[in-house]
Amino acid sequence: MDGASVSMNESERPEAGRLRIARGKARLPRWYLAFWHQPAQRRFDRPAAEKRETTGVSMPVRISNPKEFLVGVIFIIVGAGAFLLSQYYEMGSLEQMGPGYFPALVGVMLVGLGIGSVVSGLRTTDTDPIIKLNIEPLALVLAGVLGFAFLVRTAGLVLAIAALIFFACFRRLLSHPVEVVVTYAVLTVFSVLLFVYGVGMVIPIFWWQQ
Amino acid sequence: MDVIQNLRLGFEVALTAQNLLYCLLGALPGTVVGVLPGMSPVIVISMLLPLTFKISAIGGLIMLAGIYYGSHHSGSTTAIMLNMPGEPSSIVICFDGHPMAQQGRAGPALCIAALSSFFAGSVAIIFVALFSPPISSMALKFQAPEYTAIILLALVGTSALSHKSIMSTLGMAGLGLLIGTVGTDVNSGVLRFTFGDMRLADGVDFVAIAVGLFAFTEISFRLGASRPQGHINTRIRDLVPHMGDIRSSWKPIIRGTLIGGALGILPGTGPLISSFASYVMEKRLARDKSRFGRGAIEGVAGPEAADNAAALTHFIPMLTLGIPAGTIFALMLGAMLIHGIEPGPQIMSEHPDLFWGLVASMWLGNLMLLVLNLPLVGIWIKLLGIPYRFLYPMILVFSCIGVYSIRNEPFDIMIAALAGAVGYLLRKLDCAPAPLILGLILGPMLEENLRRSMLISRGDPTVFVTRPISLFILMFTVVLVIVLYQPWLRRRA
Repeated sequence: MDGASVSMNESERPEAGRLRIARGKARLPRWYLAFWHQPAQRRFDRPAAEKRETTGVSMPVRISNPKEFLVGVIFIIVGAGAFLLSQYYEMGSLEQMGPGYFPALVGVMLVGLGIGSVVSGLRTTDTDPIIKLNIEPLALVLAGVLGFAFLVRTAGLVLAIAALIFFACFRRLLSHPVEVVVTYAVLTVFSVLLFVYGVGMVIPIFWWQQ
Repeated sequence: MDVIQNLRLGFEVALTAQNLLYCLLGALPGTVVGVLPGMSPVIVISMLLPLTFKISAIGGLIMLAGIYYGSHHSGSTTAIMLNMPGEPSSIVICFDGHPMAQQGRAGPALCIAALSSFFAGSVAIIFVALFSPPISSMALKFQAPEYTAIILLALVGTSALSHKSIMSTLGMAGLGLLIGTVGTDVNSGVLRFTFGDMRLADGVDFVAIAVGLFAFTEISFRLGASRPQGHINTRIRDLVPHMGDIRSSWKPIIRGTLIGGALGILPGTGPLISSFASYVMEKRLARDKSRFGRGAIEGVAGPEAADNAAALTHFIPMLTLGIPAGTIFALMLGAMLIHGIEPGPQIMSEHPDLFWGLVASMWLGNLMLLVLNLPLVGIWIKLLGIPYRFLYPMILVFSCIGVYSIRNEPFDIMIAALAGAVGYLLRKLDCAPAPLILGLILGPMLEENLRRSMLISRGDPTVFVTRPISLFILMFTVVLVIVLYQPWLRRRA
């Protein structure tokens, strides 16, 4: 606990995240670092995102704002999907809208916004055209959450929280196991007391309590 | 007078031991949330929403409201001490609050901020009490076309606030509207977009989406990239402001309260605009403009008052029209729906205890904050030292338990995980998550009112522009978007 000396000035180290990895290397197992340091960072760089028109005349279309461009593509896909799926439901008329009318309407609107976003993504320039995906924390957090989801009803709260903490604090667990175990114990006792006994939620604590 | 009688009813409700406790249980965590880095009121409210389903509707609302204004009160603490806004709307407080702290006048700055918060809060609550009944009785005459227009205003207005490209924010609202259509269609009973999964028959729960989009995404982001954390280089010497400070700040406080209170009534403006407007005004009115940005107390007092006044008068559109003025209000609206309270103008006549109880409790909560915040300011600043690695496991565990407890369904947690993954990608692509939540909660209301308007007008879409009130609201929406997308406003935030 560094509460006594509250000097947390990490702005002095602009790439503190990366530095932390480097410093932690001695403690973290090599297989773990090797796993995440595969090319997980995708770059949607200008040259990579260049497209060529099919007319034969090679005219590179430069995507100057790949973020906006990609957002537009997502909107078009989702909007078109919603529009097509809505056709399975009754459309009705403008006066008597059926269940399919509103989703189809929103779908069309979304496609329109997507086209606008794509066009604007081709035109305007973004100051930071590189999209970095650091999926390690996301994957670990979601793995923990899914583990909780799978275990909470069948194995009980104590094991579900264990799975959640195991994944979500995995990096810390490798370097400071005692701290993570203590965090887990405190959180589990607290949640059981507060949610199960305090608020009276119906959650099994252990697997034999279903 | 009617208002006084109503307020007495409100205080009777708010002063019961139980509701006082809920008020404290909301205001205190709210304060902590406003101070702690990486904890926003949206995350905490979506985390604790399922808990409020277990208590009474009024108790739950009092607690959620407490978290909201509590975080607004303390958001300025970090702005002053660390130059780090605890709340988006306290950005403006950084301009002059932090220079004051660097000059060793953190105490007076904090004290004036707390006093102006309390003053603005008290006046704003009078606004709420005075203006809600007439707006509500006017709104009782609204029909489906007006409601459609107002919901559009809320959607577009709050989307425009997020300071991203308008296409992406409107698209996010569209995604939310689509997610809102999942489940059983109320008019025909048809199951839409459930893909044969009966667990989707009741629709996608907004709490799961909110937890995924805000809590999980935020945690993944923070663990991924280290942010520059604050560095306390300031000290509190004494809390008591000089007479001169009070003399130069009482006028800005009153002006800020009026600006914030007036702007807050319009759905879709947000406290940031109010506090910024107040700052600009104080700078214009000041004799010596060069002091601003270098620790002028007027630049703390005015915006802080405007921020808090707007934060509270935002309750007017929500409680009278059922229109949320932002993500937090959308979540509160969702909570009301779950308690079986249909938001809208009938709240005041059907649930007067709820409306006036909430108003009274907000004043009591503001009083509690005034009494608590100043003596405890040392503790709040200590809280800043809590490392994030102890906070995020707690957020995760509470979020998962909360989402599970909505209907004891692990499937909802998986929905939240999916929302977290999608939210991460969309945030990487610079899309704001708030419009999506708003679309999700307002979607069913929008569809219902759109259908009804078309039924009334026999399929004539011009009904929205031929009815004067709905035309006015739509025109206001357009003006709001044009104003909000002016470069001079967007540059600052």
